Amino acid sequence: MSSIIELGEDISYKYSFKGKRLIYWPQEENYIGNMEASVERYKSELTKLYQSANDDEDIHFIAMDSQMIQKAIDLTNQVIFEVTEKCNLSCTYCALGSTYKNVSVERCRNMDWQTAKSILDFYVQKWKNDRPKKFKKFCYIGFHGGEPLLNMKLIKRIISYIEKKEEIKELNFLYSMTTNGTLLHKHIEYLVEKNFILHVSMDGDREMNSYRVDKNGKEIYDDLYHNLKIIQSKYPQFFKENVEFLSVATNKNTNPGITSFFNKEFDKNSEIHLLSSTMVADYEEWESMRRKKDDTKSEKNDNKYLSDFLRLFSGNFYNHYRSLLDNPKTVNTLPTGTCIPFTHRVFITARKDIIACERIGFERKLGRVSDNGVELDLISIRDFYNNTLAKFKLHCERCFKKEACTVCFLTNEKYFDESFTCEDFYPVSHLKRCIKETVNFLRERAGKANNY
Amino acid sequence: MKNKWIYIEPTVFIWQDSTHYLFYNAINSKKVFIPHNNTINPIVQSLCIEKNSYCTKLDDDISNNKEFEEFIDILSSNRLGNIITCYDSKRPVNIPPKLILDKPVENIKTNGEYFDPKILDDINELIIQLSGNCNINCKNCSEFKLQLIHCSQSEHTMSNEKIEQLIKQVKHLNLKKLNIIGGDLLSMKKFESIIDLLSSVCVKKIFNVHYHQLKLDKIQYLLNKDETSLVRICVHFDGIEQNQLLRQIEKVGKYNARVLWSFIVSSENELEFCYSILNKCKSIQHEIKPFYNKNNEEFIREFVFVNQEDIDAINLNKREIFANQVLNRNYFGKITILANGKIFDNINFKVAGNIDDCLEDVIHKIITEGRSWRWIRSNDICDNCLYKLICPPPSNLELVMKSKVICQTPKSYKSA
Repeated sequence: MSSIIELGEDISYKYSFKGKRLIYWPQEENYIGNMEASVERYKSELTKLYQSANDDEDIHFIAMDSQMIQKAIDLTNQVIFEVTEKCNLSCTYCALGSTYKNVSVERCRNMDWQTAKSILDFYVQKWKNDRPKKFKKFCYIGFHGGEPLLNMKLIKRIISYIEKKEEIKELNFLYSMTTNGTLLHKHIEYLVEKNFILHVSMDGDREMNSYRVDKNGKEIYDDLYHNLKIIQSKYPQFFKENVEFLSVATNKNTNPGITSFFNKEFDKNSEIHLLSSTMVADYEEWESMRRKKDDTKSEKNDNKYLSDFLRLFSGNFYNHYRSLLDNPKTVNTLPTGTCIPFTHRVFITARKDIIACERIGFERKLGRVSDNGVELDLISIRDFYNNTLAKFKLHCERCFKKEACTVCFLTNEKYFDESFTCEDFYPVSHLKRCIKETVNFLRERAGKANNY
Repeated sequence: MKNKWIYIEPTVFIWQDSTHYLFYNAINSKKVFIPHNNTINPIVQSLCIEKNSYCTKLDDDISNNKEFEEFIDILSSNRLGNIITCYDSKRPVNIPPKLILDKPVENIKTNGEYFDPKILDDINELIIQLSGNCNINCKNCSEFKLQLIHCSQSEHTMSNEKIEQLIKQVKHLNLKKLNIIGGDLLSMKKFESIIDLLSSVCVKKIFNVHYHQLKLDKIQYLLNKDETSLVRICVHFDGIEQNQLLRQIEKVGKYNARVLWSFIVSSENELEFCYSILNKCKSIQHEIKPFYNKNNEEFIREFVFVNQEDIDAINLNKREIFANQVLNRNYFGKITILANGKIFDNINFKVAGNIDDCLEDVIHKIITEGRSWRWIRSNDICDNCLYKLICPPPSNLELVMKSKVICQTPKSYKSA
């Protein structure tokens, strides 16, 4: 990959990718006065200067090793239980519905207590030994489904077990639940008592929410809205601080529409997600319901090219204070944006499978809870990841968004095909377009500001 | 119709005070002072308006202005910018170096959770004092630790249980360096078992020992036990004999690659003594650390304080300038834990916490309270100085000397 990218004479710019510098490169006819005589010298010196800069960085892709996975397991502080597979709804776009391949058998199981206990004992041991009270003040326990409120018995037992464990009494446990909200009225007192963070799925007003239906195909909007309004009036503080909304971007809604609805009705915003692209079975059906990714982006940013340029290519953007201290010539990283498994969380299914995250397909299991406890084979997990990441490496090396990649290969089954293309691949043509659009935008903006 | 445009390169910082502009190009370290004048002022102001993107249109008649000609000559000869002619639609647009920090928020969410769940990743260097026990009674003992990573005497010793607990936690930090200090480190009870414990931490470890407390068998043990470890031997020159020192250097000679001799000097005589030793032992790894002993201000000012030559030689890239805007590159990420369990971000600042506190809370406190990690040149003298973002970050030396600056003559910068 060339460090200096030619953008063509029409734009009069070059771009230094490693140094993240956009360099104005005037044509000879642009020089005036005595500069003309030294145009070549000026350009040659400028090239030399930019090529020898001391803050250039390069990315080197490495493979995952089992120590990385072990460290991630040791540090995991978020455990998510799929307490039940059952759900009282049949949402049209549900990732566990007919549009997707996730369901090979009927989903009718509840997680049993022994599975939950084995996982808790495994992590309590880690939290107690490896993470004494001075570290990781917070541990997060999440409950998913199906509809988790259909198995409150297990949820209460898990929380009661954690509360009674002497070894971890110094830790603060935060409980959260992703729910369709239709059964909230039955359990809200307990959820308020335990200070649950509730992620309620709702896509907006009645029309926007119309993919969300019960087993008989009846829209659930009225019941859900009623439930939420009762909680808002009975527990205003809890509602304000603990209730969050999740919406799915579909062809029936728009981002401004969703935002406007939640602002007006609940004085809140909603986190908007794209329709899952993992394990799609019926692409025709899926395509008919989905809203394209670009639509959601363009609504957020006035000029997405400038925004992308500043974040990815300007060299002015840093994530944290600490990133200002790093100055490696070469950054070692894994291909793609896939996390080292269990870095952020671990997901346990009702069928006792251990999965890296609740957002990926259930077929991508990495371990199991058995009568012997938690079974994780680090070598096979490592090999599973490295086999796929090795295929990505060729794409990633040529990708100009590799430093800020958000692709998790586990979220799209296409990536397991022998000949796949990365949907987020950012070739040099994209980079050139981003720069050209940014330059044009800045030129227009300057023109408008100065009336010429 | 084509117009004339002046533009600034995107790697150039422009700072100004009441009389001068300082143009600093982060790619070649060129520093150029330009005095304010009525011709240049409106041009520079226009260049710095965000929507103009470091470029502004010039009036036709300006080309004959002598001050303008000089300005352009300076810009182009130092590769800071240039003048060109082109159509309005093809004007240059450069993005000035302006820091965008994605997560500057250090607050805690309402539920007590941190905004930055990886707050502990901010720690990059840990200094742990295992024991303060020592029988040398060095002159200035309590002063060294205020300026340097150095042993210091106290009545406290960390229990083995505490050490074990601490090491367990250290394994989970993303440290780049772990400094171990005493007291008399090599005479600690159960020294070997402590070294065994420490060797399980995969990070570069530096064991700091005093020249008068060298124990070759112990040094041998720790270097053999752990390939990532290094021994730093601090040497004070008061009352030391050259031949005795040379003999000691020779004795540890076989570990040269993993022994760092740290010569602490307070005067020109000591500096000369140091150089004479180095002349005889050219292959040793060494560092020379100046020390302010309250009676040697002149020496420190001459040998440590930066002068114009030092400033001219400064070579900071864009990232380093950005860092100087918001944090202290000397201290950000460093934590000291003393044998009594007290935690400091900097030993000259108030206690930040205790070994039994939640470390995340301690770090949060350090970041939000504007302590040494974010100690930048913002005092009344530096704040008006054009060099404040390229000058070395504030240091403990300035604190102990009760000096606001580390430069010899700050006023001269303005009139440079």
